Amino acid sequence: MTVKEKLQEIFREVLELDDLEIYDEMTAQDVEGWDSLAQMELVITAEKEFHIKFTTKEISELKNVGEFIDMIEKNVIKR
Amino acid sequence: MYYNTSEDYIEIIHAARKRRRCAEYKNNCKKIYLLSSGSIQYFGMVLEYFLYEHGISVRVVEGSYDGIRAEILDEESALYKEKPDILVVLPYYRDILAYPEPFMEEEKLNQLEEDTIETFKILWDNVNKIENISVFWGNYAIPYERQFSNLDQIKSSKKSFLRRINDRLFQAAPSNVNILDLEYLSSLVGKENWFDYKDYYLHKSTVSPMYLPLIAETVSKSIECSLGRVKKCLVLDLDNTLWGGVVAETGYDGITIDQNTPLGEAYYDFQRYIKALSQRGIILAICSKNDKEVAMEPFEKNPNMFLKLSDITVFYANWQDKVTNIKHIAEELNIGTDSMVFFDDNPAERKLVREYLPMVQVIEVPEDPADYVKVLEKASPFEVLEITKEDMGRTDSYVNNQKRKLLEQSSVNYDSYLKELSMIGLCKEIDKTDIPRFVQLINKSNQFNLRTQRYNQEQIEHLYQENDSCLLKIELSDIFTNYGIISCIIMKKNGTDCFLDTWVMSCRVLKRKVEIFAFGKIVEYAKKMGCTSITGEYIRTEKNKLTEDLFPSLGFVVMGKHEDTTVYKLDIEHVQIEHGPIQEKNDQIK
Repeated sequence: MTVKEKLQEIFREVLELDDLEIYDEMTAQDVEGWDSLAQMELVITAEKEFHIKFTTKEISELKNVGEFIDMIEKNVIKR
Repeated sequence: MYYNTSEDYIEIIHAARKRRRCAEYKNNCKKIYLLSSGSIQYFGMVLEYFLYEHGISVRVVEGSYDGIRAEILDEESALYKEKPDILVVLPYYRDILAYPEPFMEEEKLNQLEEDTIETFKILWDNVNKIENISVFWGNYAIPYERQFSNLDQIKSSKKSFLRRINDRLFQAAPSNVNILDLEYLSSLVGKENWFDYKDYYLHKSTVSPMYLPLIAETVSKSIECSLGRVKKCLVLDLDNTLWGGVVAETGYDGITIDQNTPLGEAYYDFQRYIKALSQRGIILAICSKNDKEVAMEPFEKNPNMFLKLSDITVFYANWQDKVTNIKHIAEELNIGTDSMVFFDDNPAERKLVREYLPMVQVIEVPEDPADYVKVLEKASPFEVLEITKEDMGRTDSYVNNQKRKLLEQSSVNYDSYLKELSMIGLCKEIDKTDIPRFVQLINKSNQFNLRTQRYNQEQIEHLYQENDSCLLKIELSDIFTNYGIISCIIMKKNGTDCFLDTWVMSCRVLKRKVEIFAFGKIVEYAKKMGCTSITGEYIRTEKNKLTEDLFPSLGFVVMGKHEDTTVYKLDIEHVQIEHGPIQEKNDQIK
């Protein structure tokens, strides 16, 4: 499974949208239920699933799904 | 289900969110209000989920962000509009505005401590304006960082100050405010893990989300206690649980319990931990697949055993399935299976009990006996909100129980058995010192409880002062045991009628005809209050079927019925008082 596919699973689980298709430019405005609370759950779930820890800077500057994927990939390499 | 691991925290958070989305709240479900210094939405969801999983339907309302002081001090706030049954407060060390200066003079330091405690007292006083509220208030998890490194032990350090505040909080809290030991939880998981400052900077989480389930479970257990759900009995297996090896194969002297060997010391230490539980009132029951004589031998003859037969209340060693045995143990002790905890090294037995007796808390016993104490401690099934002297003396020994059984067998019938027990009863209006036990019994009794009205200490203190209320206690002893206070009665004068507001009795003395003794006293006190009749009410619950026919059996007449409530009345001017098997004692039973 690619990082994107795995992240999609996480989005579907947390936002409870079974057929959600994520794309790089997708932002919180584009999806129902992606609020600050869901954001936290998305982040901690991704951290656990990929066995990584993001930095405060990475998380606070996150703008869209594409950046989310980059952030995961960068940290997975560092691991 | 009981979770004791932070491993599953993501799954638990997902499940809690799902539960919240589809939750439907009944009108009569308890309302919990949550206040914290940080963001608490996830905590609220997880708490609601845990209580729901434990069969308690509640609605958690999250207060405003960082709203502890703001909401409690403002009587116009949402807190006072919601009028919750339960308030949970989770503070954070950053809330404290004034910490001691380094090397502050002793006098100033003490003054600062007093002032800090004073602010809590004001908050508690204010909260208590909400009628019947139960409060669960966290103490401070002492932070990870230290100003003076190892020397942070000096009195003026932040750490020392918080330690003292934590001690003082516990001492100063009114009876309806229960202090949650968050400091212990943070040290249990390690402060390095507990404090994840990134989560604080990003989402104002005062604790790492990993430990939300742990805190929620702790809070949920305390709330369950306040609703009368407590565990009373630990059911233990023998072979490879209390000692190593199989006694039927090795004999009583061949089992592993010698504390001079590593494995023997592990079992010995577990026994010591169990003994400490029994000393605080947890009933120990043995449930083992063995021949009884063989199973008892180690207790009687092996000098290395820490537990003796006198520590055990019920001993079931036979070849029946454990589900049946556990039910029998519950019957023998007059307790519900939902107040039992099962500890057995055999996974097959645990699976059976989980399947057929889901209300029994089954401990997931680890492979290594060196971890037994830790696992049982971490499950901390025996949570209580307070300990009374009756608890300490509750564990009636197996020896006394056997004597009682022999007496029952040798008596020609049950009545003559009750006579042989030489029971002595004392019925008196309560003293102030009796109030904690009075409150405890009222909140814990489920079976012999006519109206299941729960009261907190403050309410009982209030009734105690009132002229038109009469609060009676009954103490009982027999030739084997002194039970202390085992029954509580609250009577309220209403003109010439006396309303029996509360009548509860401990499950330890059911079937002893204490109710006949009590009834005579109720009539006597009602007459003293100037009443000519008594009104009684039976409100049916899932657990109090036992008392369904109590009023008719005492000669009361049905006045009306509405849903689960039946109202009875009795004219007491010419009522005949029966004398049961209990002798009356006029002095305090020592």
